[in-house]
Amino acid sequence: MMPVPMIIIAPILIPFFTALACLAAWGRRRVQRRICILGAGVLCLAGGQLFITVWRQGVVTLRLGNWPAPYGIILAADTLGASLAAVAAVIGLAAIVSATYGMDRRRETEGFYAIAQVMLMGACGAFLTGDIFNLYVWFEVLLIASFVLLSLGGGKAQLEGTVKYVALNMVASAIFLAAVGLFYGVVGTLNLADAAVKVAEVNAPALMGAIGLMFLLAFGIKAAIFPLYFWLPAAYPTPSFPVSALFGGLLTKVGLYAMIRTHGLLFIPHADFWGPLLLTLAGLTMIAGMMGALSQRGFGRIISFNLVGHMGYMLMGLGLFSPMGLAGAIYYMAADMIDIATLFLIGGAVALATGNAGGDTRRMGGLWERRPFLAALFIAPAMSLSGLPPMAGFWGKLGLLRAALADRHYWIATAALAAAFLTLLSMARLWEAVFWKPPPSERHGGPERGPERRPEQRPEQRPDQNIPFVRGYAPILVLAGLSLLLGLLAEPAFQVARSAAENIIDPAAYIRAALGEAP
Amino acid sequence: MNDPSARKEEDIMKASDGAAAAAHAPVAGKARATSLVLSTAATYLLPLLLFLSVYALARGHNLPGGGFIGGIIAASAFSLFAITHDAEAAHRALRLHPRLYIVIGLFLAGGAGLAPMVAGKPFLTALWADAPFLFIQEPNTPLIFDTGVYLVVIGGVMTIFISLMED
Repeated sequence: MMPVPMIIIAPILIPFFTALACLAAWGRRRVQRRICILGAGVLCLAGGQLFITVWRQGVVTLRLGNWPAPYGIILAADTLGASLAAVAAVIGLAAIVSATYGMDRRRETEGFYAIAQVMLMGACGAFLTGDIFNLYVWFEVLLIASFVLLSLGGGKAQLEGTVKYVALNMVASAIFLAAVGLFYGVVGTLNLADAAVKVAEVNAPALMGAIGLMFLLAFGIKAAIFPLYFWLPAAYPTPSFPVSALFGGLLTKVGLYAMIRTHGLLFIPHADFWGPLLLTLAGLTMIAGMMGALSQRGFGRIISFNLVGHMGYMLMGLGLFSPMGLAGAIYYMAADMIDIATLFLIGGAVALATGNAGGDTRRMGGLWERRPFLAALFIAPAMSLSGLPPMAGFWGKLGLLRAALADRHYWIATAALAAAFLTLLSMARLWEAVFWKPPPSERHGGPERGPERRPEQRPEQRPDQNIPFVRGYAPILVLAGLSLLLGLLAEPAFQVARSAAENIIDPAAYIRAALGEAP
Repeated sequence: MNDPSARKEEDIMKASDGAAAAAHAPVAGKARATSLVLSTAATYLLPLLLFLSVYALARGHNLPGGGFIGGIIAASAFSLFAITHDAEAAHRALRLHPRLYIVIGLFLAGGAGLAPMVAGKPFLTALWADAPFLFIQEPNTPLIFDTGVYLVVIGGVMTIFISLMED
């Protein structure tokens, strides 16, 4: 009895108290670094422990304040929530370790470490809560944390991206809140499990459809799906790159997770129009995102558009709503979180190595010779994102494609294949531009004039800045290794995803555990 | 664990002494827009309002009041003091940096949530003791939580307020 409630709340409490300790050590960079890394490490262990517990015992729940289930707020960790919380913890650790070398002193001391922990708390809370209003609260925690992280130490472009981001996300929050209110008015409960039971008795298809669409709009803005994605490429590449990695790994996925949870439990099983609608949006997201990626020249913007395009795959899995499709989406979500975060971290390392803070790939080149290890590391997430075996992205895409073909959705399968091809193209172009083509000094003819005369160079960003191995390469290496591991262990990993998917489609076990009846 | 509020009152008395001293100290060379009446009144309003805020905090569980409104009253007292004197005087009256108020407050609130877990109950379960402690009839964890909220509100409002004043 005792250890179970402790472990489900641990991924929320550990970042909370770590953030407090960082806040107490304000202005003392080294102390904050140590506290924050220690906290993120412990969070990783807790996430792993929670996942093991859930995998062995089934859904783990905790009634906050000991209030009985449909009335109080509960935390309910199923396979989906627990595994995503564990992945989020690992990405958080990698981003925080990278921040110790890749972030300027002012941003570090002005609260990055505390707010990064708040963000991890928000993500874990959203993954573990079993209550719609509580989900809204965690979204607000995430929004406030991301607002601070985005504007931290801001320049002009950064503030512009921040304003777009905050304005749109505030709208999303307002819609979300309105939808929560309407939902409570119609169904009479905000406990997810209780609502899943009661929603079947509500005989108001038009109203429920409208509420579901409001949820879709709110989560769609957060998850950056078509046509609500335009804020993302403006906002994500502008802050310091560990922040981008944290955002790219966590924020949009939380939006999509919320969609899987609410729509999967409450809306999709009760109306027919969801499947075609979600599949259409998925196809458009994929194509629009990948087209955007191919039109860009900045490293961060290319990754951001790739991130948008690949949200389409997860949405496709939700639209198919078959065990195979949803399992593919869940597996793909974990893989994509890791890959996008890795690519943002590599983008940061590349910016340091070339002295090109804006990440303009036209002024890069020749890194293959100067940074062979970085170039080799780039291959792992690029292959995974493009869907090449044996990386994780391949198995996720394979599962999604098989599910689409099994249900005879040929055009979405075509769109997914086309988007995979466009990703490959985008990644190959990125590789060519950053690593393979000759460096700019050789390209423009004449003898090598040395890096110190490049016009775009600023004093604090020397071109050949060294990247420390442990703090610089190790986070990338760990994440890339995780992606490879997820691909090599596709069989057991897919079983986990499959069990998570079946829990969404047939939520009987989740409902029983969440409402506190005997399992 | 109910002594934060008790200690608070001691702090208030000390703070008001310091505040009174600060008010009577002549400020050379600084043009101030406030009137002598207001600044003198603020000096005496500060302890009064702080006492009222603790009163609002303490009655808050069953009656109108509570940590948030108590914190707002206290923060408005400090803000009035900051307007009539200056940011430096407000810092002195607060004793601790506003950020530390936030840290201590969050720590109290989080600790109040953790305490029942030691007793094997879920996070945030309210624990009530029968034995009276000082002037509190039933010491309980919600009061600790509320005290945490009280401190966080003071710290948050004063951080914003003093930053705006110093700009």
